[in-house]
Amino acid sequence: MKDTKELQKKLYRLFDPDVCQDNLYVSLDKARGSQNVIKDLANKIYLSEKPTYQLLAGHRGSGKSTELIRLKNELKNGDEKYFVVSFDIVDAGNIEPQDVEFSEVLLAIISHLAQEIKKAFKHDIKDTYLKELLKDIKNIMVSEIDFTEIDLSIGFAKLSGALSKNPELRKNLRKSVSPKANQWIDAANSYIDKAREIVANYHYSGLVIIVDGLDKLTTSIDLTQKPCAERLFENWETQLRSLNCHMLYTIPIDLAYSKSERSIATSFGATAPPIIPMTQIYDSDNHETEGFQLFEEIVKKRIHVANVQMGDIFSDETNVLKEIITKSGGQPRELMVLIRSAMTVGNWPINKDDINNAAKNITNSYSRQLFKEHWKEIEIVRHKHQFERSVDNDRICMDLLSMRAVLQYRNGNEWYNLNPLLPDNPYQSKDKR
Amino acid sequence: MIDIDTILTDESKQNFNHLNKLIEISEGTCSFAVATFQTIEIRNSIISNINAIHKNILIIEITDSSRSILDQVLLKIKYHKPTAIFITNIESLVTNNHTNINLIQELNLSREKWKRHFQSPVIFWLPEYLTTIISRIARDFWAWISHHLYFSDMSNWQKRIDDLPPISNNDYAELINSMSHEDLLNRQSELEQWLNNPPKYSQLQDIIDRRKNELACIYIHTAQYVKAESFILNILETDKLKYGENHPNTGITLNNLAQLYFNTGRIFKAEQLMIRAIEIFKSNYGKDYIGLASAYLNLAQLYKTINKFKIAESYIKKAIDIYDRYYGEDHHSIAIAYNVLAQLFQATNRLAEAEDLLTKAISIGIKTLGKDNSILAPWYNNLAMIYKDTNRLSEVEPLLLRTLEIDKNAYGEIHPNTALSLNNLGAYYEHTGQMSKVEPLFIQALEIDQKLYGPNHPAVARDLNNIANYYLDISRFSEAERLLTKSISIYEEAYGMQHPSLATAISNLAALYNYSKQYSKAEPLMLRAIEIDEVLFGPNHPNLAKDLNNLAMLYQATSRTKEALSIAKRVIEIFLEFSRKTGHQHTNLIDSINNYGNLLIDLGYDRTEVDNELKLIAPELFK
Repeated sequence: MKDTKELQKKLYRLFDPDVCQDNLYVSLDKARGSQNVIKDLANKIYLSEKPTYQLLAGHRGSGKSTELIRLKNELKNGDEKYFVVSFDIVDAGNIEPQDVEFSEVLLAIISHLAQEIKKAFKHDIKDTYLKELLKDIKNIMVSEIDFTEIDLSIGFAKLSGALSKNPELRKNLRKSVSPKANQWIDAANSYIDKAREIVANYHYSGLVIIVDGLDKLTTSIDLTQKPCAERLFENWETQLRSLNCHMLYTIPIDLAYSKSERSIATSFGATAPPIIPMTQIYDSDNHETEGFQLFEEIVKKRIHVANVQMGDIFSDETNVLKEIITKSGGQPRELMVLIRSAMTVGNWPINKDDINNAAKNITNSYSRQLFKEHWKEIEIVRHKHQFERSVDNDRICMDLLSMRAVLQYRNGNEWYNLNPLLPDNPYQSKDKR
Repeated sequence: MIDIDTILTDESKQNFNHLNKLIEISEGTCSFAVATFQTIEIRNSIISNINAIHKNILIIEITDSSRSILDQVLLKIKYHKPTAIFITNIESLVTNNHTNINLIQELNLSREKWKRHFQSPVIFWLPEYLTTIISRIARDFWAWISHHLYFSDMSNWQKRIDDLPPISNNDYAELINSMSHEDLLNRQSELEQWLNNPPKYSQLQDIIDRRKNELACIYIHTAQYVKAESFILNILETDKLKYGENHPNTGITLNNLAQLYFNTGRIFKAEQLMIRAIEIFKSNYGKDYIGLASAYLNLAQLYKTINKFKIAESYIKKAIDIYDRYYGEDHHSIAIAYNVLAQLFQATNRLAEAEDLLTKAISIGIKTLGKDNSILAPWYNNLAMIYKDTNRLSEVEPLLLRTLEIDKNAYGEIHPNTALSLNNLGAYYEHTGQMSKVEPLFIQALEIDQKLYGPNHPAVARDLNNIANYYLDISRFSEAERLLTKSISIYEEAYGMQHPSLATAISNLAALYNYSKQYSKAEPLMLRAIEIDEVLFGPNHPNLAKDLNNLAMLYQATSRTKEALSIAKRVIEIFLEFSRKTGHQHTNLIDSINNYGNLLIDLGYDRTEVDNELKLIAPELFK
């Protein structure tokens, strides 16, 4: 290998789990059974005359955002074209992620819709009802925001800016919006109806709004308080389902397993929120599956792009690669993290010890996170590959999924397995001593 | 400065290379790493060593809590393009405050918000406790990290202290029970030292609370009650201020205080506090909270001592229920609860049921922990006591010897549990009249406790009391008197004027004077014992009945038969009440009836009159 250092830098960059390049993309659909998730979501929209309200959940790093992009493309470019407004509510920046209320979500929806319509059709929607309500907001604003301006989308942009700078304003906004929530919904719908008319004029079959980022509202520092997303869906579920177009919300995976799950899912017209699962790399008899080969593919593609041989990177390549994939537990992100970490642990080519050392650091971090209470459920999943869910262990199960100590797989049935990087059960070995 | 080569553990040296390599090859890519350090010194020397190798490392010390970390980094990054970004002193954002919600949120959104700004690795330097906390609550952030590095030196006391289990009294109880006395005292001085002057970065209230709670448990466990009391009251005050009356932390502290009150004989106060703590746990965590089980068991033990057997039983069953649901049947916690229930049954004469439970407990214990685990020792001992009570004497000795053996193996020769086992074995020999074997065992136990606790400790008083009783048995009165007097003064010093053990010692001394016909000395002691037991246990407790019985005999001996009679009648009533309440006859009931009958005969009643009188008092015995 020439210029080892440059090559190493290049490879480190190629294994960045947060960058998605087309030439590196490997579809995991078949192996994780998620092709149906996206298709189901799209089909519901295709088949329904009325607006649909859907949820999507997934592990951190399971590729939720990638799948949403695919859904968006499917809806935009399929036989029936839909106008898709998709935004990340956290990235948009005008919210306080540990404390989001319906008013902020609604305003974000209207504001993004206004901006997208303006961008796509150079068209400003005028709606007197909405303008009337917006006067309320104007009154609580100190500054120069004027929704009577012709350009509603500019007004919203300014509002967002003002909100992000001034927490007091957020409070006042809520005080003003929440009691009139139903009027706001009516106004928003009157606005949405006009938007639908416009997109219909441009031969779209309908309007779809995807609210991404609600899955990031997971902070629950005060243990007595429910995570923000859970509160949002519990308290405002009716309102979230009253907008007059197709809506899709992402939710945290733990919410998909919470006590409120059933009621939330039911009201959103599903038995359970669809979840983007992990890739299955071994079947129940411990044989490598298609997912295993796809994971190999992920690695090989990157090494190919770097223009080197597998043997340059991995000593005893098949075994080392196998070790990495096994340890990843079918999490694409963990695969990348392990390889990156192994790259810095030892000398190249990477051998099995390096992988184990890299893995050890992650394992130690799990030791820190797991309480005695978690281990009981972990043992159940270890033996049964399912949770034994009850009212009492709800939090614990949610917690295990949320920290990826337990991973969800799908092929055929839904089943669970332990993260291969979990430490040994300290309570068991202690008991035996 | 610390020479990292000589002081770091091998793993940390490896991580040092790991970090070097990371900086080397990650140029141009943003990735997140967490470097956990054991002490500030270690952090500083690693950073300065790295700084000497690589150019252009940007070190940001977080000092401004009003601005986001990202803003603080961006402010500095304008001027140069770093090879790596080190963020230090994040702990300043969590000082004196459970967690900084903005910090957590910012970390959670690091992938979305930070990555676009940097082309180099960002390394977060976190002290150990903060790594633990952040890994638990900033789950998103934790998922975005590519590298975990850990740096520690080879001295391990700091590490040990930081690796404690999370708050849960259960855990402490198990941990403390399993430690040797010497380890406990070492641990105590570590904790005291640490709490006196917590390392700068450990201002975190969580950790301090945890440590204080553990220290309180150690004080109680090692019977340092005076220290324990002022310490716990102090914690309670701050808890109430900081968390409010109904916070679980306050509950834990109340529970510790209750345990202390219970151990030092302030039973009714203890009861109130235990109930209060249970309410707090319930309202915070629901009725199936695992920590409730041990609280129920403690409360049940308390009710047992004041003869509220039914309530005690119901609490034990609740505890069993919780354990059963939580751990399933085969777990030593359930066996522990069985043992408590068995002792309750033993106290109420339901010996067959008690035996059954102990056998069950032991078989669970053997299955889950092995037959020689120290947790089983008290169960073997209690089973031996049942055998003793049911007169299967040949089975007693092997069990007691086994208990002693296990304790010696588990805790060593010099340990309170070993002393206890020696005492129990001695008491058995005394009971069976094998007098020559008794004294060496009692003396051995005394020596252990003196070594452990010094000459003025309740455990020593108990040992002196045992020896004195033995001397009484073999008529060495003056020695017995000396030991009992000493024992009483130790108890008074340790517990104040009211404690069941003090009452027992006083009552023993009274018995000695009674036996040697020094009635004028015996009487005030008896009255004092009665007073204490009545306050402690209420008016209907067998302990009180025994005291009263002694007094009746003294009155009889000093020709105050009428007074003796009315007291003897009360004794019968107490034992009757016990028998009615528990459905099992108290072992001393028949004796008390006979005593009463004898008194009547002394007063000139004839046989038929005596029988009639007795039938009136205890009709159920004459059916």
